Amino acid sequence: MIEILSATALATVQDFGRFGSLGYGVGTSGAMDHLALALGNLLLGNPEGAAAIEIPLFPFDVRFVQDCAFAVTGAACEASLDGQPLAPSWVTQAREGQVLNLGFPTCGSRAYLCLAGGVDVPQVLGSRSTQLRGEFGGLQGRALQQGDRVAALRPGMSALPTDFGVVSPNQALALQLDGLPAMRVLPAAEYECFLDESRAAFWAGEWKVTTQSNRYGYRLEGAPILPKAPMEVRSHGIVPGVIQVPHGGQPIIQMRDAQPSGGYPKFGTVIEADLWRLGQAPIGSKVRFIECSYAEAVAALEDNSRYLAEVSRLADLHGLASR
Amino acid sequence: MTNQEIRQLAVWLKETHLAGAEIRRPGLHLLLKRCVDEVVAPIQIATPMVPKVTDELLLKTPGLGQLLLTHPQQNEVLVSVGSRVEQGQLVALLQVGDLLLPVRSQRTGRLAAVLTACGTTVGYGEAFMRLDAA
Repeated sequence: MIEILSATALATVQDFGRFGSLGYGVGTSGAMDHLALALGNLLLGNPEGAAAIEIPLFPFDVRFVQDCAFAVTGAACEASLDGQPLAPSWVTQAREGQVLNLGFPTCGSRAYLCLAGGVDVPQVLGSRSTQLRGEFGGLQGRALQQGDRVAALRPGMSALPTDFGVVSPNQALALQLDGLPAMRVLPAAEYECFLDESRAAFWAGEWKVTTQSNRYGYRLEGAPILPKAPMEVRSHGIVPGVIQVPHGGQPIIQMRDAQPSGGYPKFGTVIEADLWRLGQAPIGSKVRFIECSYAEAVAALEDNSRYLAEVSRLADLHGLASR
Repeated sequence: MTNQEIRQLAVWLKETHLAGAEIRRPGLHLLLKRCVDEVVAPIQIATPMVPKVTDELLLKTPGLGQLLLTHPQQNEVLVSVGSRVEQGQLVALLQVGDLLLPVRSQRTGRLAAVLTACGTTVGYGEAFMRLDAA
């Protein structure tokens, strides 16, 4: 059990997401950086998709109401437990009464506080993720507030080793273009309907993550993407990662809390394997896009799974060696 | 495990300057130790000159891996020369594959010298930092 001490808003309980309910108009939600969520859970010996607390604003403070092992992954913050510095992407045993402070990130934008066993909130439609639009899931369907108490499924002293960490996906799966974080994009249905110059400029240009960016979507700023002729598209199903281009030509990338349908023309889709990179791109930062094929997109997903499997294997070995 | 595999392991240990390796699994317990001067040297040189005292103030690696003096996600070294080191303080990291294992100081003191460059592959028990009495 932990108690939220900080008043900063928008921290939510998230797991991998709520799949299979798009037909009811229920979006997937889930962690913006699902690799960080999986890593934190692997360090604790949890199932990869166990629920954790996603923290987008700092500083963030919690008090441990009882002993509990925890891991902080994702954005590298200035973190400390009762004043003792903690390394990024690290698992630690907390004792009753200790206070965890997460300061501003030096790298990335969202941190994940994972608890032993996972965060214990009721499952709704098969997931513990907070569905902000529908106001259900997570803790009472809302962001965490000062004074909230959140329970872990396996509190107490951990039987598994604590006090070790992992090389972050930023290093292990680095992808940059001209020094900027890059994401791979599959061209989508209306790709061919945009001007050749616009398409070339999309791949060649830098894109700024504007302040109108959150769990619902990222609005980017760059050279406008213009259509060959005005387009009217009927509303259709969309998923996280879809890049829509409204009339102004400034694209919107749908993120985890995206609504399940939309009517803007689709330029492309950030591949599932790279959505975590966007989830860690801070507001005001710049990103680049790399065109990729369906086969490359599938291969990228396999790279991610291989990395997680390797971390899992090494963590298990470390567990055996520490007995 | 064949003799050929054990020979290959010995070659790899030599190439990577590791002090040894131990493999345990059902029906197998293999312990390889390299008796090469260069591995043991830093510890042995220190001992005869100023017995005990110097040796106690040397921090030694707790296992095999790549010794990191800076966390890969941070810019500053975990502890800089001249600064005070508390017992139990994180002074370095041992990278084994994608895992980062903590290297904590066994004693309190002032960091006098770093004996190993960041990123060096180290074996067990190699001296990598020297402390002065605080």
